[in-house]
Amino acid sequence: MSGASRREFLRAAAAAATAVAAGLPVPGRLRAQAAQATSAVRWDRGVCRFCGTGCGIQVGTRDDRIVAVKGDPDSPVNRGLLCVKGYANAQILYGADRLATPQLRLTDGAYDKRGTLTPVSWERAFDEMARQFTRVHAELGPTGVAVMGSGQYTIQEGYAAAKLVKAGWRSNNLEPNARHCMASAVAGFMQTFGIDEPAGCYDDIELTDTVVTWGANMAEMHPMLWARVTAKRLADPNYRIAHLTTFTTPTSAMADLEIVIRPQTDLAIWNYLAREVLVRNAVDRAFVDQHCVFAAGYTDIGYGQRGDERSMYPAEHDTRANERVHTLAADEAVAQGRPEKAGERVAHDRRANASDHWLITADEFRAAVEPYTLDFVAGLSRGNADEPLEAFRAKLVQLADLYCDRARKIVSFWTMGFNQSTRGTWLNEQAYMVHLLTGRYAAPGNSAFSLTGQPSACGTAREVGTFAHRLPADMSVENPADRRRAEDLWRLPAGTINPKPGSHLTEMMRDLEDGRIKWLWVQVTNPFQSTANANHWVEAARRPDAFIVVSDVYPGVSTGLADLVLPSAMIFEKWGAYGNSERRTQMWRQQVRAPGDARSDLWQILEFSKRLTIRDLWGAQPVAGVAVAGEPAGRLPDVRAAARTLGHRPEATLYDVLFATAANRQVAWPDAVAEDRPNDTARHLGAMWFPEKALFEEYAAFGRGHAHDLAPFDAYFSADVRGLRWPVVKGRETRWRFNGAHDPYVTRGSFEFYGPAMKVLPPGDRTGPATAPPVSLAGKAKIFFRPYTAPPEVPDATYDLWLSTGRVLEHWHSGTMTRRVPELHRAVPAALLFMHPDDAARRGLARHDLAWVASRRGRVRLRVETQGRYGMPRGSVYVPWFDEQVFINTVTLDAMCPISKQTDFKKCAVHVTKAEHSTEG
Amino acid sequence: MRAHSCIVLFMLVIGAWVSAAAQTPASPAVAPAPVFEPPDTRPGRSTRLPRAWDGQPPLVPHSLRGLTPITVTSNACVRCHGRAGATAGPPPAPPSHFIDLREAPGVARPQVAGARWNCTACHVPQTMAPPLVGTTFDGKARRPGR
Amino acid sequence: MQDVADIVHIAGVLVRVAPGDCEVSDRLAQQAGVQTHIDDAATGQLVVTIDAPTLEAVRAVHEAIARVPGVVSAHLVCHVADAAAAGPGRTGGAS
Repeated sequence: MSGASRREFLRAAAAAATAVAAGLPVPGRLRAQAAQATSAVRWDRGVCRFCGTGCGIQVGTRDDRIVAVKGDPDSPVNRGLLCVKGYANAQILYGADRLATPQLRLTDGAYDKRGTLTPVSWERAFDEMARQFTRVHAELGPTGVAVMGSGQYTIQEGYAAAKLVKAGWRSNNLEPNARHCMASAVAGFMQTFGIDEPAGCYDDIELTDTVVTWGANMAEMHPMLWARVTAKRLADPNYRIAHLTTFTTPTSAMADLEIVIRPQTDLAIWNYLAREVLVRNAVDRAFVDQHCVFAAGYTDIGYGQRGDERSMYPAEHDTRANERVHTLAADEAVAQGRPEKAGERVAHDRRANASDHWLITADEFRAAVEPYTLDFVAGLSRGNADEPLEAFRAKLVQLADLYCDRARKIVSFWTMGFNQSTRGTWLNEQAYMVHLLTGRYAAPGNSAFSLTGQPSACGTAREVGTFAHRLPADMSVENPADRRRAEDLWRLPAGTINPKPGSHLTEMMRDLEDGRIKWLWVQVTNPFQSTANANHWVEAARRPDAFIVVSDVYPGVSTGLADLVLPSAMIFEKWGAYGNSERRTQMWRQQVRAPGDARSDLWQILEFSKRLTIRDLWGAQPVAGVAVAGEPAGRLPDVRAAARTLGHRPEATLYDVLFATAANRQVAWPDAVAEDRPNDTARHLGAMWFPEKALFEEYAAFGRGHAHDLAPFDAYFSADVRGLRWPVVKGRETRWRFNGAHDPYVTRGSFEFYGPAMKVLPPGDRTGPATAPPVSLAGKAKIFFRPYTAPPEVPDATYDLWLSTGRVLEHWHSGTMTRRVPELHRAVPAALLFMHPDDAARRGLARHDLAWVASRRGRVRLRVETQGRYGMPRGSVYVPWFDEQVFINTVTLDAMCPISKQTDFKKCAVHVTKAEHSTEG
Repeated sequence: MRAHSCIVLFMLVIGAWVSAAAQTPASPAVAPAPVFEPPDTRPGRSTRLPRAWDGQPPLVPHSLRGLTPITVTSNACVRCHGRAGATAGPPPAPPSHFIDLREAPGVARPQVAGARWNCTACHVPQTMAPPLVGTTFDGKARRPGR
Repeated sequence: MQDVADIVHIAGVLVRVAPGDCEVSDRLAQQAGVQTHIDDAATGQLVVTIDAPTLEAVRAVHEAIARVPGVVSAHLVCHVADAAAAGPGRTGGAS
C-alpha cells in the first residue's frame, strides 16, 4: 500500500471514528475506506477473559494470531475503556509454555502414578481416562467420580458438563470454583427472594447518588465499574462514596468515608444500621407492609469444618474443636440475646439445619436488633486500634446518616468480603435487610448489588447450575418437579437424575482425602492452589488409587499434581459466551486456532462422552443415603428398559443420547453467523452441526418463559447488540427485575418478588419455628434477622495476627495467565506480606525482609511490605494468592458458611517470624 | 537467573512432598524471588518504554513514589499529563482521554474525563523482574513513542 | 529517537455550525490540511480531518478551524500518528 493511499485510509478512519463518537451515521464508502486503514487486522467483538464486570472488547486478529485489543466503545458496560488486565487479553494466549499436547504419567509405556508426564495422543489419553473411570465407577458408583468445573467455563461448556455428569453419569459431583466465589451470594438471593441474581444493573451507578462498598476493593477488583463510580463522583457534587474495609486500599482513596473495621464485624454493623433505620423512623412502611416479611434462622450452625478429628494435623485440634462446641465470647453473648452467658460452652447443634428459617414478627425483629447500639457496635467493630474510638463512632453515625436519609438513593456493592465469610449467606441477607426496610431495591438508582468475581459465575455456574445440588434455571435435583422437567427436556427416562446432592467443592477435596472420590476431572480452574488448607489436598492428590485429570492451558499447581494433563483451547480459540454480574450474556466467535493439539473444553467433554454407553451407566447404581420410591434404600433405579422405549439402544453412547441428538444435529455448521470464522470444536468432532449454538438453544429452553429468558443465539451477534440482560422478552432486555414498570414477569403491583423457592414458611419466634401450619409468601421478599457470631479461629497468644487473602489489580486468580504477560509480571512480580510497620519492627522485620507466615495448617515464606498500595492496621496482614511460589492457601482455613459452603478466605490466625536463612526448608 | 526455573523446580518439589504422620507439612524449599522495585527515577528523567502492540496503554517509566494514591481532589498524573495537545514536556494524554463516550460522546473537554481519572487502572510501572516464562506474542508494534 | 519526518498526524474534528449554514464547508476547504468528510447541514455538524506533519501543526490548524466565520465549535475527537511510508502491517495507534 503506498504512503499516499494509506494517508487517505487513515483520514477515512479518523472521520469514521469522529462520526461514531458524535452519533452521526457513517456513510458506507467512508466505512469501507476506514477498514482498509487497519492493514488487514480483522476486528471482532469479544468479552474480557477476567473479572465479573464483563467489559466489551474488540479483538484484533491477523495471520491467525491475536495482535491487539481495544475497549469496545459501543459496550454499555465500559464504553471503550479497559483495565490493565483487559488490555492483556491478546497476550495471555501466547505464553511460551502453552500446553499443546496431552500428557500422561507413564513408566515404560504404561500408566504409573509415580511415572513422568509424557506426551501421548488424545486417543491414548481418553483410553486411560475411560479405563480409570470404569474402575472407579465399578468400585464406588456415581459418587466416586467428580468434576471440578468453573465460573470461567463458557456457558456451553458448563451446560455440557452438567448434562454429562447429571444425566449421563447420574452423579451430582459437579462443582464450580464459583463455590469459593459466589455461593454465599446465591444462597442469599435464594433465601431472600426465592430466585438468583441481582434485580438491578450497572445503570444504577449513574442513577444513584450514594455508593457504599462493603469489603469490596472495587478500584482494583472491578476497575471499570469503579471508573463509572469515579466519573459520577467527580461530576456530581451530591454523590457520596463510603468504603468499609479491614484495611486501607486504593478504593479508600476515592471514598468520602472510609471505615476500617475488625474482621467479621460487618455482621454487627448491618444490625446497627437496621436499628438506626427503626429508631429514626426511616422505614418505608408501605413497601415493607406490601412486599416483605420478617424471618429468622438458627444461630449455632457451626463453621463447615469436618465434624470429627479425621485427617487432622495435631495443631488443627483447637480450631476444629470449635465446630462442635465453642465458648461464647462476651460480644456474642450481647449480640445474640440468648440465655447463655459469656464463657459458657455452646453446642453447634444445628449444623445439619443451617439453612432452615421461619417467619417472625416485626416486633421480634425490632427486639433482635435492639442490642446493636452505637456503643456496642463501635466497641466491637473498630478495626484500627490507632483510630480514636470517638472518630470511629462518628463514622458509623455518618454511615447511618446515609442509609437513613430518605432523600438519598443508595447502591451497596460487595463481593468477597461478604461472600468469603463463615457467615457469608447471612451478610448477603443483611444487605437486603436494610435495603428492603428502606424500600431501596429493584428500582433505578436503588440497589443492593452483589458483584460477581468471575467472568461467567453468573452466566455459567449459576444460571446453568453447575453445582452439586442444581439443575439449569435455578432448579434443584432435590425437587421432584424440577427433576421431571429436566428429564423431559433432556428426553431421559423418569428417575435418571440422582435426587441426592453431591459433594460441594471443599467436600470433594475431603472425599479425595478419604478415598470416597477416586476419579477427578478438573476443568478451567486450579483448585489445588485455590482451595483453603491446601496441604491436605496436595497430599490427597498423591493417593495411589486416585486418578486426576486436569484440563488447562498453562502448567500450574494442579497440572503438577495431575496424572493426566489435557491441553485446552483458550478464549477466542473457540466460540463461547459469558454472563456477567448484571445478567448480561455476551458472545464471541472463534478468531484463531489453538496451538498444537489443544482443543476446547467443550470438545473434550463431547469427545469423552463417546467412551461410555448407557448400558454402563444407566443400570441400578449405589448412592449412599438416597431414597427412591420403589427401590431399596441407597439405590438409583435401572432406567435402561425405559430408555429403550424412548428410542435409546443400550449400546448408545452418552454422546449419541445427550449431545448429538436429532434436534442438535439440525443446527447446521457452517452457519452464516460465523462470517467465515472457523469452528474447531465442530471440526475435531467430525460434526456437521454447530455444537455451541445447538447446546445454547437447548439450554435456553429451560429458562424461556421461566423468568430466565435468553435471546436467540444469533441475536447476540447483531451489529448493534453488545450482550443482552436477561430476561429478554420480545427482544427487550430487563434492567430492573421484580419492578412492575420494567419487568414483564411482574403480573401485579409495583413490585412482585416472584421467585418461587422457599416461599412457604412456618411462623415462629427468635428461638425456632412453631408447629403452626406454614404460610405462603408468594410475591414477597424476606427481611432476615441475623446475629453477630465470632469466627472459629481468631488471633490468640500464639497465632497473633489476622490473615486476609485476595487479589491485586494486575493478576487474576492463581496467576497462570497474567504472570505470563511480561508487563503484568513486571508490575507485580511476587506476592508480598503487607503488614503494619510497627508489627514488622516488633518482630525484627524491616521492609523487604524475608518472613515466615505460619498457621496451624502450614507456612509460606515471602517478603515483607510495609508501604505500597495497602495500609494495614496493627494486628492484621494481607497476602495475595496469585503467586504459586507463595502458596498462601496452605496457611488458610477451610472453614465456610454452613449454608453456602463457601470458604472464608478472609480470616484466620497466623504468626509471622523472620526467616533467617534463604535456603531454609 | 534462577527465577525463571522456579516454576519447574516448584513442580518437582510439590511432587516429592511427604507427609510425616499427619504433622503439619513443611513447605517446599523454594528460593523466594529477590526484591524487585520499579526504578527510582523521578518523572522527567526516564526514557519511554516500548509498547508490545499498538494501542497498549503506555507503561509508567518513572517511580510513582509520593505520586499516588489518586484521590478525588489530587491526581499527580493528570497534573503533568493532563494538558491536552501539549507539544513539550510530559507526554500529554491522547485526545481520547478528554472525551466521555458515555455522557458526551462528541464533546472533547479540556480536562481528563472522569471515567479516565484512575490512571493506574491501566498504566502500571515496571520492575526489572525477568520473565518467569517467555512469550510468543507479537503485536508488530511500531517504533516506541506516538 | 524517532525521525519526525516519518510521522504523519491525522486528527478527526467535529465542527458545529448554525443548522442550515452551508457556507462554512467552503471556507473550511480553503484551510490547508483540512478535508471535509461529512456535512450534515440539517443538524449543523461537519466531520473534518486534519492532516499535518507535527502535533504542533495539528493544534495550529485546529485553532484556525475554530476561528473560521460560522464555526460555533470545533472539537478534536481522535488523533493518530502514523509512519506514513510504512508498508502493510503497520497499524495506526489511535488511542
